[in-house]
Amino acid sequence: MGNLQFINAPLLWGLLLASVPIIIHLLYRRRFRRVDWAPMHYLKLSIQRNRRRVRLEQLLLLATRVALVLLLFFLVARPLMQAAGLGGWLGGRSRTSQVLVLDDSLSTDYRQGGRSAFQRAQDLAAEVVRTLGPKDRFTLVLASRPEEPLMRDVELASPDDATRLIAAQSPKDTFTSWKTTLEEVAKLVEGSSYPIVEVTLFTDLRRAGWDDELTELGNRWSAGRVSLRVFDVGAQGQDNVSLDVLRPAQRLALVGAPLGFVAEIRNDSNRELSGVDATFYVDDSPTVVRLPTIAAGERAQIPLSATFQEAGPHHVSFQLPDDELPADNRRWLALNVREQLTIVLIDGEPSSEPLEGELDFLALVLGLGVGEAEAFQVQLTTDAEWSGGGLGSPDLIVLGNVASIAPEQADELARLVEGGAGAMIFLGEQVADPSSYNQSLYRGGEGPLPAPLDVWSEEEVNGLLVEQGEAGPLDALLQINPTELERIKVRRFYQVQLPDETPPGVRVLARWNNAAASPAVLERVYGRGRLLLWTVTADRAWSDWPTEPSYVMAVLEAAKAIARADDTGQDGLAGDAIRRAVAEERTVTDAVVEAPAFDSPQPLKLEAAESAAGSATEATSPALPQSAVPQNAVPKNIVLAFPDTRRAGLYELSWKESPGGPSVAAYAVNPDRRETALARIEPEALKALWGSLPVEVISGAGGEEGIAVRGVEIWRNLALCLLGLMAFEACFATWAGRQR
Amino acid sequence: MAASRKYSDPDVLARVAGLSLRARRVVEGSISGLHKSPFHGFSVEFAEHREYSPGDDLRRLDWRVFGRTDRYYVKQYEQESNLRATLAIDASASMRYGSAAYNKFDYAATVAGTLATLLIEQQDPVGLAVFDSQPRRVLPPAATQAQLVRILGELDDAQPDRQTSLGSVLLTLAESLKQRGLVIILSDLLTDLEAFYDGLARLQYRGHEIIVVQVLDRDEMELPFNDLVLFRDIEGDEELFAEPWVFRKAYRAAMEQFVSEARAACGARGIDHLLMRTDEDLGGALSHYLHARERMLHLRHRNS
Repeated sequence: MGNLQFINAPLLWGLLLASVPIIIHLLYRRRFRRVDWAPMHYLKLSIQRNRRRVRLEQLLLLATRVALVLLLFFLVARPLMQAAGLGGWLGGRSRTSQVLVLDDSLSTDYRQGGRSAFQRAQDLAAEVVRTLGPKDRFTLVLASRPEEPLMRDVELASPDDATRLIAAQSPKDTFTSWKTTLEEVAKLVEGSSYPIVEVTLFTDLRRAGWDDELTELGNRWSAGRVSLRVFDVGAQGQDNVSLDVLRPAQRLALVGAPLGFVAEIRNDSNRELSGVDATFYVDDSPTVVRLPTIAAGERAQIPLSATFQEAGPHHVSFQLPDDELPADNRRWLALNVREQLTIVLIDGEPSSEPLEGELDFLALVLGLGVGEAEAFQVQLTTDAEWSGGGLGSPDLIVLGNVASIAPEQADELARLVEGGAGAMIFLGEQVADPSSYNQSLYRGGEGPLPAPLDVWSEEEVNGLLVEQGEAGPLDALLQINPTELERIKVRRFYQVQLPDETPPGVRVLARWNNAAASPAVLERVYGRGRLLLWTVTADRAWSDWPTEPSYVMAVLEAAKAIARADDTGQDGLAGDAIRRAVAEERTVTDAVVEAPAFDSPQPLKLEAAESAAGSATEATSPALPQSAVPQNAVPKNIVLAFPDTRRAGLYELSWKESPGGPSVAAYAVNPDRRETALARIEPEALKALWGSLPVEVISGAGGEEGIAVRGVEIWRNLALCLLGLMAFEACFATWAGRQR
Repeated sequence: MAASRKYSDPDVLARVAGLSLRARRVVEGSISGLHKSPFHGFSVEFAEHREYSPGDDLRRLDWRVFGRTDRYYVKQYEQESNLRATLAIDASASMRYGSAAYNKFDYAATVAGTLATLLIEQQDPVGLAVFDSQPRRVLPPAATQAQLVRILGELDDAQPDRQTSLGSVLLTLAESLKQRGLVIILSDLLTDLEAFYDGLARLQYRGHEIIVVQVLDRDEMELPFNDLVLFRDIEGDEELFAEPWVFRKAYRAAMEQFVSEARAACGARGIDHLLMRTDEDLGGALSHYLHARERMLHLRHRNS
């Protein structure tokens, strides 16, 4: 009989009612009448002749009626048999290709009743494996990596092979887009050995990821003898406290300079968060942080700060105490702390007198540093000394009242900005003819200059207005008292010709407080860098602003905002591949990564970077453990790649470049916030996504009672038997009655 | 003695009034007798005296009795015919059963009373034998009103009881009946049939004509019970618990066969077999039988 279980086991108590026909039969014999009878001989004769037949008829009727009751309650208890053997025969199954898809997204780690949805999924999947027919083909897929099945179209020698593999899995920190996942599953289905395919999904039915319609896929499967059943292993609970964001408050991390961070916490539970401690890790060194009270349904921003005393890669993380979903309670940041910023000041009107040069005052401001750190290394030069290509690789270039820009100078400046450096241009009297700027730096809108220069205006203006909106380099000025900006007196400023439609990457950061609201500071995002155009002088020649405290703030904040940011520390989402470009014409060896999911360093894949035509190709496939490229083969563009980032945490890459030497880079992979939205999708809404494909949704969340039973339902066959038995009973009873 | 009215049903008597019950051999005898008046060629036997009533035939006055008593009495004579009837009625316990207005004994006794009345009106002597396992009470045939009273009284006194042993009773009867006549057996025939047939044979051997009136109850024929029944042998101790509906059909078939066999056995011996059910109209059934018998005898007379 195999493993027989029941969906509605309590109804089996009804089997006791099968004794009712017997009891009725027995009780009925207690009521009788007495008759004094003369023709006893003939009575006995007729009884004797029919005794056996009548006895058989009575027993058969009684047995039929008892069987009817038994069968009825057996049927409503919905028995399940294992698909193998008799269960498979009764369930009418043919050889089938079974595709099991296990949802291992972040939300499946949600725990209720001491068990997570993923654990329930594992148990159910193991049960399903045990119900496979002996000749069935089996494919096991994780939703986080459907393109690489754990098992593909195999005939299981023993279910233990699959159950062990299932038990070895764990939830990931990824987001599952079901449309994408199921399209990959569809490829596996198309490649299945048998025409009958049964796809079984084990998922917590959280709405996130089920945003797309699957009508086309559903219709395809419906036509192709593919059935789909979904086991809902999710708990109904949605209480969760999550760490949504951990971000730096500033772009630049400099040695000795306090670096601010902001942690954003979301309390989606129905309880107030109070008296809770979190942990702030700075390079694995923990610090306890007492959280403020966060009401249910509210968010809070927690300011954090860290100061690094050494340059190089560092990391921070912030962790909340564990709750129902611990996976979204920690986030990481990888950052590169720099010793200093290199700033080149190109003075167009130098002076030997202190603070008389165009940029002397600016150099003084920039030389202030950041906090206790001497953050800025300032190099002062003149436009005469500036030859195109001689600036090196500064982080920030400042031009002050440079009369004209030679083409090679403009090229160098554009290249540096495009490569990520920042640039600030202050104008002045020396810029009498703006044509060289327009030609060499604006280039009809193709250059780094935000707008073509026009002529300067002699209009006297009082006050500066900072534009609000998207975050910008001058946002710090929005935090000060507006009267500080109203005191700024401008006697002369350069006018620019902004087109009616502001080109992309160009914006006005601040305006003069005049009727025309003339732009005061403009920004152009150019390549990986930015250029700020100030329409006044850097000194007091055209305005009193340099004497105002707001000037220092503006210049410093602008410098920090646009100076080259080191991108050796990067962040990404779980599931997104890590890709690190190596400088051109380098040879890379010993490229490995230390990843959270692995105990030992894993090899990095070396890929060819995008060519000039824009297509990516694989240099080697798969990843090689050691020297990836023969010494005598020097590819021009190399990308170090690691695709398996399904676990959140810190990924530390290391490799050797030739020339160059050992290199390291850190990546912070964080959980995908979309998975922390725990709203559920109703089974009916899920079914509606699938077009004409009938979807069976089975509840598999048994809470503390355990998992619902599975197997092949045989109630339909039992129902047919019941109908047949009822018809038989009626006909036989009528026939037996007529015989008498 | 006042006549018992229990088994003298005026309705039944009215139905059979004007009918006669003749022995077959009376007809034959009368035919072979050739033009003999009922009063000629027959030996006439004195039966009894009765007081003279104006209009009686003076030739019948018994002067000897007048000489002794000074009172006028006429002689009544018993005409010797071919019909001396004996009513043999089964008064065993089995005759006690009844589901209709009559039980079987009452029904048979009413038939007996009716026939007795009819025969006495025909001036045919009628006797009575009440029996169970043996003759219980026997009245020799006589054709007087007093005999009728006695017969009805005996019937009234009889209580159905004890077992049936019809065969041995008929054998005894055959020995005791001196003159040939008509023996009318009223019984349910729920007895040893072989012995019964032997008894019939014995009576026939002794020259008697026999009519068998088998009286059965509707229940005994149809077994109409729909409850569980504990059947107790009415003439014994045996009990049988049964569901009648289970074998009703088979039982009815058995009873039909029983009656058919009895009818066939009687028919084979030239014995009239009349089945009467207690739920039947007694007068109608008896009248029907007597009519049929008269027709049959008339036809034979014409054909001979």
